[in-house]
Amino acid sequence: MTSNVDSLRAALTLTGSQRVLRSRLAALNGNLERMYIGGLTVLQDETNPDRFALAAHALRELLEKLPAHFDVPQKKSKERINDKLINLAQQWGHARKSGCHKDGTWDGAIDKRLRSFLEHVKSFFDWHERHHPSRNAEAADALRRLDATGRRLPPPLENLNLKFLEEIRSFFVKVSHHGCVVEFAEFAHWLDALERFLLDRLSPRTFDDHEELDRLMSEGANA
Amino acid sequence: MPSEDTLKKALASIGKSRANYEYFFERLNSPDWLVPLRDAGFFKIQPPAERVGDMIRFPDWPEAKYLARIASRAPNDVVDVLLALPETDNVRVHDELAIVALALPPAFAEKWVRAKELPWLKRQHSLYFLPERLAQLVGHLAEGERGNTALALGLQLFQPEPDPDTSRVVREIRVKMEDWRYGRLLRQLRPMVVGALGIRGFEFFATLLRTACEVLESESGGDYSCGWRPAIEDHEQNIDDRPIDHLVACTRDAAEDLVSESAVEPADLAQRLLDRGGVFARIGLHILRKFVDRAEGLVARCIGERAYFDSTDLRHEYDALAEAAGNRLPESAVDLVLGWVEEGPEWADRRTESGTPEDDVKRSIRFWERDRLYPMRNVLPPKWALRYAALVADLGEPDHPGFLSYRRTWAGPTSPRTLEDLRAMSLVELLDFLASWRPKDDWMEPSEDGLGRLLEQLVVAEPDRFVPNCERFESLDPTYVRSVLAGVTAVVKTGKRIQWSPVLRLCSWVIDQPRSIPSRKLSRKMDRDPDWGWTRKQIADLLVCGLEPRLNGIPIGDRQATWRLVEALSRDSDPENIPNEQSSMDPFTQSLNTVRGQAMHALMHYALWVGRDGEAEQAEPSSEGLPKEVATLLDAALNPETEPSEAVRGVFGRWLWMLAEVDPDWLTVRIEKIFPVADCHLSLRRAAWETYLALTTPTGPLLKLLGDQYSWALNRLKVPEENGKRRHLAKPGERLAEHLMVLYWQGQIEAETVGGLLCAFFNNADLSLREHALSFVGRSLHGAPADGVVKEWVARAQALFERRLVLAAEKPNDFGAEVRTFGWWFSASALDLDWRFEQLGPVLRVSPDLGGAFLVVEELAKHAAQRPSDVLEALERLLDRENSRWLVLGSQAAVEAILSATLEHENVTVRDRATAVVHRLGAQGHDGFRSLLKGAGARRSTS
Repeated sequence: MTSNVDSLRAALTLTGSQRVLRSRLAALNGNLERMYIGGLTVLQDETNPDRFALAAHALRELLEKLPAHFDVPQKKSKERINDKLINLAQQWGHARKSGCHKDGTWDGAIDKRLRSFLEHVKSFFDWHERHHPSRNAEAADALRRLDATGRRLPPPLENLNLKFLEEIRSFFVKVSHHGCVVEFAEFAHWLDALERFLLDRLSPRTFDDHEELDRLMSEGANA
Repeated sequence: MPSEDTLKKALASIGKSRANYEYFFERLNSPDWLVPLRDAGFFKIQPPAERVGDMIRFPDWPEAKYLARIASRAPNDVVDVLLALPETDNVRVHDELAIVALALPPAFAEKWVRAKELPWLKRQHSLYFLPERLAQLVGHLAEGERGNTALALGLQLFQPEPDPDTSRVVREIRVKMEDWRYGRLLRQLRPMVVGALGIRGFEFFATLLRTACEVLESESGGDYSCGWRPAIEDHEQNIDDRPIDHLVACTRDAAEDLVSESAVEPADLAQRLLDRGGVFARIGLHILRKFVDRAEGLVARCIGERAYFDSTDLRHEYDALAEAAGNRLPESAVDLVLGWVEEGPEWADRRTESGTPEDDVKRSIRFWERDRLYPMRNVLPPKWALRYAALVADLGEPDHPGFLSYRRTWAGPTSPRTLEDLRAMSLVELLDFLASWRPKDDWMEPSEDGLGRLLEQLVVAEPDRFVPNCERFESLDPTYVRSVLAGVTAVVKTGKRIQWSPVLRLCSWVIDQPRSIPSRKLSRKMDRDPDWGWTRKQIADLLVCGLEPRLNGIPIGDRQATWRLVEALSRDSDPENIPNEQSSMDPFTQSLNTVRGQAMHALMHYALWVGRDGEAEQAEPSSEGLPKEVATLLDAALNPETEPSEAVRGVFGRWLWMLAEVDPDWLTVRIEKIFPVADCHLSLRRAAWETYLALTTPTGPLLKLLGDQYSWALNRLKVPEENGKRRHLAKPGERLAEHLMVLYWQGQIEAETVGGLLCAFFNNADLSLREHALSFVGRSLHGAPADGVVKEWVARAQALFERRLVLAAEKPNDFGAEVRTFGWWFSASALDLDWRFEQLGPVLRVSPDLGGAFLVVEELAKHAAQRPSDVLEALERLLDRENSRWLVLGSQAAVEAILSATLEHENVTVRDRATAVVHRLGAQGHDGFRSLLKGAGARRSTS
């Protein structure tokens, strides 16, 4: 596997920032690096008529596997939630025999059967919250872990980032599913957006940003 | 106002990282950004408190810092923001918002306090660090003519409540902060609140005090303030560090402030306080005393008030006022008081009726009379003055006038004479004094033990006077004989030459005394020796000291007398056989603190002494092995039926090395006796083995003798400790690991030998023990100079580490922690530098938390100029780890040294890499490294 990647890497021509991103992804996880290099290699192969869809698939995978690398809780399989639902349905069966349940209506103090059912419902939703975060929550958690401080950004900034990330992902999903016809320039634009987004976090230029912020604050004050 | 484009660019930039976001809001200074940023979604929700397990963390809110900076310039907008915020459980955010409120004009701050902070504060019981800021806000509002809000906030902040801890015997009050902080903040606030609000400010403190008293009264049925506050003024009898004391002091000082500044007449304020009763009445009397010349009428009325005269609660302040009033008191008031004294105390009849002997009652009444007349002693009419003088002549002056009870501390034991007194006595006088003096049977009185301690010092100070005459202390109390011998022991330790014969004769006399003294009565204080046992222990200590290879020890000519003592002490009844689990000491420590245990140590010293000095003096022909008398006694001590003590068995472990050197043949055939294999003697085996492990550095000859014991100990690593209460001098597992590491690097055992000791260790030991083993080697090498370790030992240590690292790389979860203390290895200059760098990369990959990471960073700094790429790679890996922030904070100078060297390197790739590291540090919040970039850039452009 390693030798394959090495040969692909040898055939690729990477820009300076792509080299930096590659090495940072490699430091994080070899699989992430392979997805990135795989995507670029396919994209560079002009003889491949389906190169955009294949490259988009690799880059989408890269985006979707990032949370897993940071141990962000992932969606569990459908079977697992079905198991949980079957169990809950059995409890529902017992609950309906509760003394509080008469003629299809609920009334009176909570008895043992109903309490047991309610406790199962609580466990179910706790489990669901823990193991079935929304894609947004997954991505937010991954972004937090990508930050060098390990801390969250405030909601307005986090939402902006998540929205932007989702735009990038949607583009690559659509292309990978052959949902649109795409030109190289447009693909390159989104690839560049993805690379910049990741580079800002994996190889930040913090003090350059601070200089830029100093300039913007002064601009805003003088306007 | 920033343009849309500027705002967009700023948002894009601060969205890249938390560091950028914080940088922006901690520096933005223009109010013009407030509205656009609010429209973009900022200032609408604060970060909540974060709970992780039992920990709670309060994240900061950089946006609040911006609000504070612009609050004075845009108060309306800022208050709108504050009022629209949801409630938060984050105390740090409350602190930051209070800073914003402090920057607002008081009228604006008041809106936030009323609408947001007060309702929240009412529900809080603990405020962590927030009280400082809220107290400042109280002052800010008070000084800004927002008195009602200031007082409402202050009352909520300092509100005393009943302590919910029902386990306490006496209910205490609880406040929302630490007691010391409570006092400090109240004291800081007093001048501001009283200065700005006058009598209302005073009432603020009085209200808090009333609430606190109500809490206490609910338990006691009355505040009985003299019980918890003996004096209203500052006094050593007060405890002073509880909230109730702070409240008394602040209420008192606020009252004094008001009167001093003439905001109120002392009589008016005092009357107001007297009417409230309890501790307030005491404060009222205190105010009258302080301003006695401004309220003479009320002073006279108070002194002439029978209820005040009789009150035990008011007694201290009443007496102090009477004394301060002196000649100002009208005759009528003095007469009234003297009339009450003439009547006598109201308890006199009750005591007589209850059967107290008449003389006792009369004497108590005389004490009472004296104490009641004391405050007026300078204004008494002649007849009463004579009566008072007679009382003082009979009873003495009052010890603590004005107090019904008085606390004292005492340190002891004490001596009836000072060291100088004893020194001034002749030997005969001293002996007579020691023989005749008897202590009083009372606490805090001088005792034999106190006198003995000075006697010991006396012997140390004048050994030439006392050592030759020490036999003359025979027949004295054991406490004194022990003290003399303790003094002699201390003298011997200094290396001074002494005459041993009289000392040994005194010891011999002691040994001949029956150990117990049946007629002896012991007090509860343990202030004299219970029997001759403590003196016997002192003799054992003296023998150990005198037999050690030192100048002026016991001469070999005294061998017979010395042996008599050793032999007799080795039969002493102390220690009793106490199982380790029930003892407060491990066997070795117990041996040092018991007669028989210390006698066995003396026996071992004796064996060496005879071999050493006997041969030198040719007192007996040179012979191999242990002296016969020693061997016989040792054999007796190895019989578990007659010597079941773990302490004595521990002595064998301590001296195993000596026995192996002096008489290996004797030892070889007794190894199984020293380490008995029978289950019923397991505790004895462990006592000897664990003491050996703790106190001995292993050698090849010892390994040959003890190979089976090491194997046994390795097998026991898998046996869970039956009883966690067992006492150890050192952790046996860790010491075993250290022994094996020493034996390995010496070449006594091999790592590769299947079934060998080292293999067994790595198979049987848990992860923490295996980690300890490699850590021990690393620490040992770390402390060694570059050329101070035998090359073969270094090579063996490196080979072992490499073997363990291969395993750690294959199974990081099972073995990764073994190599986590590589920091010690990496910083060991005795190891080859290339080898150290070769290991570092793999170690950083397999070990999630590197122990001694700060050592690695410091070592990296030394090699940054020569090996920039290796160093930067290692630093990058360290920075990728969680908690690297603390590593950087703790190793800032070393990190700076690395970056300074690499930022100016001739190779552009190195420079770029170093620049990336600096930016990464910035992203972690280490702003200080920014100057390195500017400095390096400036120097490059200049060159």
